[in-house]
Amino acid sequence: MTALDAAVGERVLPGRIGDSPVRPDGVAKVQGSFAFSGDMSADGFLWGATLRSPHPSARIRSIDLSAAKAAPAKAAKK
Amino acid sequence: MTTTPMPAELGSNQLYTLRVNGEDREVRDAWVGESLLFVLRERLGLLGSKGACEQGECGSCSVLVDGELVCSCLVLAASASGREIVSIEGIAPVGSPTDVQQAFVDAGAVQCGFCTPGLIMATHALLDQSPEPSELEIREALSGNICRCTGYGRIIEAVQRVSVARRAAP
Repeated sequence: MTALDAAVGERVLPGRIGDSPVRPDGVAKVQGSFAFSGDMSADGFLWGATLRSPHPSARIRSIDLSAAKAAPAKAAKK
Repeated sequence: MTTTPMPAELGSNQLYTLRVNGEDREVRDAWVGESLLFVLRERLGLLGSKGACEQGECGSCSVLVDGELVCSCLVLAASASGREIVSIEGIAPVGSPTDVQQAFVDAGAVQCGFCTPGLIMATHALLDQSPEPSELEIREALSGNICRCTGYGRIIEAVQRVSVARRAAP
């Protein structure tokens, strides 16, 4: 008898065909406590914002970055 | 989620109180145009309500306001002052899921889980109003909650399981 046969014989292998395992992250997801990428946070996070034209089919001639440049902490601009 | 910069002319430094999940929560220095979803997530740290479409189409942000199911992305937070707000975090104590939450797990109605908190809120709202809904009623009641993973078969089965179990043990 191989080790596999022995394990199957003792029914210790999880996830066999026909099993209905409980979803391991199911309870967290129904309770809203599962963290999706948009829910994650960390110290020192950089926050970005996309500035788009407020008008359809308009040509952007310039972008006023003075408010962003005046912000206390900034990493990159364009 | 996207955030809307505060137009200076609308003023800042607004202070108001929201009653969320049975607690009074102060909201400070807030633009009055912020959505309830934004305030719940970004100001009060309640991340269970999800933001996806931000236009009331997907139901991921569903919460109860005075018992009524709403898309929190379409409600101005300041306008919900003085009302009872219940989010997914307030529907049950941590670690003891409601019968609806347990049924979703048991029926395999959860995959990626992004739509799930909204669906849980919608299901509670439905069963509070209509304890024994037909399949058509369930489909109608959950039609504002979009799931891109499972199809809806197991979600509907989960709702039906709760309805049957509540009838059996009132």
